[in-house]
Order: sequence, then C-alpha cells, then structure tokens
Amino acid sequence: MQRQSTDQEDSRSLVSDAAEPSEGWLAAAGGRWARTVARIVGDPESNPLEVRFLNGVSLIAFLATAVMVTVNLLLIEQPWLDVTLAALASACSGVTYWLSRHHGLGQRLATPFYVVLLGLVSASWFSNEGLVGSATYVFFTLLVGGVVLLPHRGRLLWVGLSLAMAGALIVVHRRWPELLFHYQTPGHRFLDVSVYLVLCLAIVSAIVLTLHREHERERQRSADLYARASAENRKLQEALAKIHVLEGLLPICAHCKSIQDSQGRWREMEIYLADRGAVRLSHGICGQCNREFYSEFLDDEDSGALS
Amino acid sequence: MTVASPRGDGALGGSSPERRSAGGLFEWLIGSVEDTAIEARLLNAVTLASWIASLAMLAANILLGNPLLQWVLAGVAAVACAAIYIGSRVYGRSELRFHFCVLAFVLTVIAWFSNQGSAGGATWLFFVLVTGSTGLLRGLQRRLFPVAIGIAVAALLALERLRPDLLIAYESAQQRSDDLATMFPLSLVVTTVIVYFIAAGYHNERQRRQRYYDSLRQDNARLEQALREIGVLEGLLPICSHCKSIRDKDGNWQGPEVYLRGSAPLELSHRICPRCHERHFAGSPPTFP
Repeated sequence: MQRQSTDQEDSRSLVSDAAEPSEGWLAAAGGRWARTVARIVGDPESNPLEVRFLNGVSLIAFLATAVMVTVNLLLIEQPWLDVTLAALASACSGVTYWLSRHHGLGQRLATPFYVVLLGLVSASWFSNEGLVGSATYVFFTLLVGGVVLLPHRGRLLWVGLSLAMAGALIVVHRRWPELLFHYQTPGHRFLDVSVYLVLCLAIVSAIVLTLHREHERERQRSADLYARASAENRKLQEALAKIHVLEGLLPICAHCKSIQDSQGRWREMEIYLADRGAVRLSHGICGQCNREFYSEFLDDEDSGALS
Repeated sequence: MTVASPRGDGALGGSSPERRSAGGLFEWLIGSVEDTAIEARLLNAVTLASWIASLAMLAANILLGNPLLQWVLAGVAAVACAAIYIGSRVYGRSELRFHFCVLAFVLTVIAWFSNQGSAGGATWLFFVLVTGSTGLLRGLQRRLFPVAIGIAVAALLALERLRPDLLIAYESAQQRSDDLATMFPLSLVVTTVIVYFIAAGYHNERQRRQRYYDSLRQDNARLEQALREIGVLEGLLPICSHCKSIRDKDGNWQGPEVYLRGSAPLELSHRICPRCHERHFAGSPPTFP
C-alpha cells in the first residue's frame, strides 16, 4: 500500500518528463499502443507490475484457451480430457482477469491462479503425449510467468515445486507411457506443437521484454529522482548559506538593547536583526512608553499603544 | 546534508565480503566487480558456461558414438565460445555479446535440423535463446532479436511441413526419448534461472529507489523540523522606538530579550555597551566586562 502511494506521488511529477517527444507516426502509434495496453491491463502508475502481468497473462490465457476450445469443438476431434482442461483453464483465467482488473484482487489472486494453472498444465501433460507434445511449451510459459507473477514470499517455493513437477512428469513419461493419451496422427501432433511453440515463445518474449522495459524505466526514475534531489539539495545549501541563523549566546546591552556581533561591534538591535534574516522593522511606540513619554496626549480610557 | 547516491548500495554494483572470499576463482574467471561492467561479466559467465557445456557435449557425442554432424557441431560451438570468452575477458570486447547471440541462434537452428525438427529436443532451446538474448543484448537489438527468433521458428515449422526430408531423424525411439528427457529439464531450468535473475534485477532496482525515496522523505521532514525550530525572523516586526519592545502576533508588546528567546534558539546575556557605560556610569569602572 505504502509503496503504491509513494509511487503515485513521485511518478505524477515525472509524467511530463516521461512523455517522449513525438516523432512521426511511429511515436504516435507507440503512444496509442501504450494507452490501449494501459486500458486492458491497468494504468502503470496505479498498478504494480505484478498485477499488470497477472491481468495481461490471464487475459491472453483466457482468449487463447477460448479460441482453442472453439476450434477443438468445431474442427478437430480431440480427446475429451483436452477440451475439458482447456475449458477449465479458460474459465479460471477469465474469472481471474475480471476479479483482478475490476475488483483489485490481483495481488491476492496471483498464487491461487498460478497453482490452478500448474495443475491444469500437469493434467494436459497426460492428454498431450507428455514430452512429445505441447504441454512442455506451456511449462516454459508457466515458469517464466510464475517468476514474475508470484509474490516475493513463496516464489522460490512455487517455482521449485513446478520444476519438481516437470521432473516427476518426465519420469511418468519414461516409466508409465501407457498413462498418456497419444496424438491421433502425426499431422495432428505437428499442428498442436506448432501452434503452442509459436504462441508460448511469443508470450515468453513479451513477458521478458516487458520486464526489461520496466527495469529500464525504474532505473530512469531513480536517476530522475536523484537529479531532482541533488538540485533541491543545492538550492537548500545556497539558502542556508544566506540565512544568518540567530543562535547561541548574544551579548545585549541592558540599557539601549544594542547587541554585540561576532566581530565585537555593538550594533543597534534594529540593524542587527535586519542583517540576519528577512526581517524588517517598523517603528512604533509601545503602551508603556506611550504612557511614560506621551501621557499628555492620551485620553483616560486609551490603552496607550501606537503602532 | 548530502544526498547519498542511489547506486551506492546496489546489489549489482556492490560486492559483499562473503562473496569476495568465496569467489576468488569465480572473479578471476568472469572479471571482478570493480573493473568489469555487469554486461561484460554476464557475457563472460555465459560464454564460459557454454564453452564448458559444449566441451561436455563433444565428449558425450564421442563416447556415445553419435553421428559425425553432432561432433562437428559441438566442436565448432566449443571453439567459438572459447574465442568469444577470450575476446570478452582478455580483450574487453563486450560488444561480442551480439556475435555470441547470433552464434547461439545459428547453432540452435542447426540442432533443430539434426534433432528431427519439432519432434526433437531443439525446440526448447529457443526458449533459452529468447530469454538469454534479451538478458545479454541492449536497446533495439534486445527488442528485435526475439522477433527474429519468432520468425525463424515459424519459417522452420513451415519448412518442416513442406520438406520433411531435410530433417535428420533420431536413430531409435530410445535415443529420442533420452534426448527429450535430458533437453527438456535442462532448458526449463536454464530458462527459469535466467528469468529469475532478470526479475531479481528489476526488484533490486525498485527496492533501491524505494529506499532512496524514503530516505529523501525523512531528510525533508528533518529539514522542515529544523526550519521550524530555527524560527527565522521574517516579515515586518513592529518595534518600539524607545524601549525596543517588539509586538508579537497576538498584539502583546514584549521586551526584545523575551521576543528573541521565543523565536530563535538563543540566550541573551546582559552587558553594558560602551556608549551606555559612558552615559550612565561615567567615571566608574564598568560593572560588566
């Protein structure tokens, strides 16, 4: 919470610096693209990277699996397990996206979402002929996504568990190959593997590149913050040098209230004060002095102060 | 009050004492933190690891009696990795990282053909290639390399569909199964580790900025506090021409000693200035020195 609010604060003033100079259609297209992405996965200024990743990944997973379920039902006769798994993954991703994007539950949903996907991918290992099939590529996406998505606490545990799960599934493939559903034809296998390979490579590239871009942005923000802080620091130093702070033990004359300065000169109080700080003095006459020196001009009920 | 550099305590920039004591050989191999940039150290580490891996592959190919093409590939990979490692470590040519990425790319494509295309273990290497190349490259190269890999994979798949005879099939189902069972976990672990490091870099940078930001805020708060305590005398102060009393915000006239003590951290010690001494105590020695 604390991190989010401070982020917002200092990014607000950096927004103007961050806006890149518009150079032709490329920059304009880039700006439009960034705004569209921000509308889909959430505003970068108010959503942490993990939440934006969760939104993006769950939306892509939802769309991809929904398309796959449709294609499977209409065109290819896949094993029922495969279609069911894809439908489950689709439903789970859709709900996650909706809850995270519109109800702000992203940070709490990351781990359950990851665990459900791990279960589904492990199940699809059996329906897609194990090592030979497309589930292997999904494992890459899952792990790369998990490293970025999962909250810091427990990340290593879940990533380790997923790797162990992949190892266990390899053992299953080698020892009990009869547990696996085989592809019906080599052509079918080729199609499935091709689609998943390209799709998963694209998702992994997108995740890693986004991570790099965020890293660069973060570095840039640090540099900006540092530059701004140094400039302010310099201004403060200059201001401090100008202020002649009134402190310490000042010798003051008991009679005329003159003050002895550091060079030993006795200065009238007005001059001394005017030299040290932004103070100007306006002469008036206080009540007591008024009564003392100007009593002949006063009415009886007058408090006596002139200012 | 000086502002600490945001890079002062970075995980990438600094070296912890235990790491230094543990990694003498490691530092000698990939370069020390003090005189080698992070990109160069990364390239050194990756090329060194690839060199060792390709040497191990060469040995394995010779021992297992694999086809000649695989020997040659492993041998070429070993020589090229050694050349890039030496160029980077000894001659400080860190721009070789692009050449290294291209080399890895070419080798992976060749491995694709020699390992039965999409039915083999080379497919997973593309994930290692994508994540690794983005870690090594910078700027436009970093963004375009994954695109090039994606196009190449699509082209390879299309080629496999049209000319399946170009692929070299595994000799036996057992060999294929062995290859898949080694390549898959290996690629998966390497990819995960690479992404883990990239993510750790991002989180470190973020935490560093957060810490820096917090310390700035604390400094600010302290400065404001100090400014309040200094109580700079500002504005137009009404002062009595006769007794030098000053009127405060509430309209009360106070002796200058009282007013000054209330608005600045100072003490006043009463003396008699020479002029008053002259006027009031003429003839007798000064009472207060």
